Amino acid sequence: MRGARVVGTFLADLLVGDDWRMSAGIVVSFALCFALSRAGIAAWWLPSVGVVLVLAYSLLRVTRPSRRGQPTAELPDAPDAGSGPSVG
Amino acid sequence: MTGANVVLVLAVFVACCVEAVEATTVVLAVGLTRGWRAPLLGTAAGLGLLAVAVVALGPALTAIPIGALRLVVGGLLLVFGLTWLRKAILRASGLKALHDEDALFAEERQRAAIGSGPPNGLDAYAFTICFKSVLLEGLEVVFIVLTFGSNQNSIPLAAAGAVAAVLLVTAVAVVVRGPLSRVPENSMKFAVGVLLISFGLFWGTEGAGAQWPGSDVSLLAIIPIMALISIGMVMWLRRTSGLPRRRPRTDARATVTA
Repeated sequence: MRGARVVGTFLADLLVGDDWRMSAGIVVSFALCFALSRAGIAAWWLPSVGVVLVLAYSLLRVTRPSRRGQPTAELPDAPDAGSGPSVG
Repeated sequence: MTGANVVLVLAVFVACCVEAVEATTVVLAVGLTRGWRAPLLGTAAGLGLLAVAVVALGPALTAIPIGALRLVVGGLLLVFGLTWLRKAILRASGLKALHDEDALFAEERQRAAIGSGPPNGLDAYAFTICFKSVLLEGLEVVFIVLTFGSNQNSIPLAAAGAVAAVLLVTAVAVVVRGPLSRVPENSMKFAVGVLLISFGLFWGTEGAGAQWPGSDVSLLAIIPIMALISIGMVMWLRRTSGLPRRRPRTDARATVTA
């Protein structure tokens, strides 16, 4: 049971990462790229643009509360949200 | 050796050098930032599975849907790469501590609570990244050998060219490992994030059915462009953040968590 829980946690972290929105953005980008490519439209640029946008959005989400003077879960002096393993 | 055979060996050598450099870059980057045990085990596991597949399937290996494999590996590399790069950007911009004892303690406590291994146990992330990258690139090397070799009716010669390429790239990686290990930790993680995202974009996009202009050569543009965009994000965060800035620490041994 404990082993299954550890494996499940690992797989969830593996597929989702720190921010599920980034993973969702990757899936959407590749899906759109696949659809456009099947339609004969050059879409090699699309996942790159998608990745830059989801990264910028994720960073914006982390830093936005600090502009109102509130700590965020990910910033150094705030309580640890406890999400995800130590990656990177 | 005939002229055609020389051309065959050279063509396979160059093509396999490209594939080997891609896999070795990922292994080198992960090993330098997360320790060598798991990346080397992942590499060995990838090569082992590849060897079993080659022995069991032989030329039938070319039936494996490489596009789907590229899409899966590329997508996972992107998830890993974005996670690493996001944290590295936050640290480089001063918005996240480089060394956070409280976060380290919380992580240890959480790890103990769920019964996972200690930090010096097998690093499953590093293992997975290296395993998949080596398996994917290894499969591409095998495809190159089988397709080039069977066209010339000389698979052993093509295999010799591939082995030479892999040995050369591995030797170069061993030589550059030392100098790279002296790069500050967060800078290295920043670079690893950029590399993982670049390779993830390259493989994933091709797996999704699109073709990069220039094929593998496009990586020479993707990597610097991603690096420039990431540096731009650091500058943007430094300029717009309302938080007091931390002085970035240059201690390369600092343990970075969370």
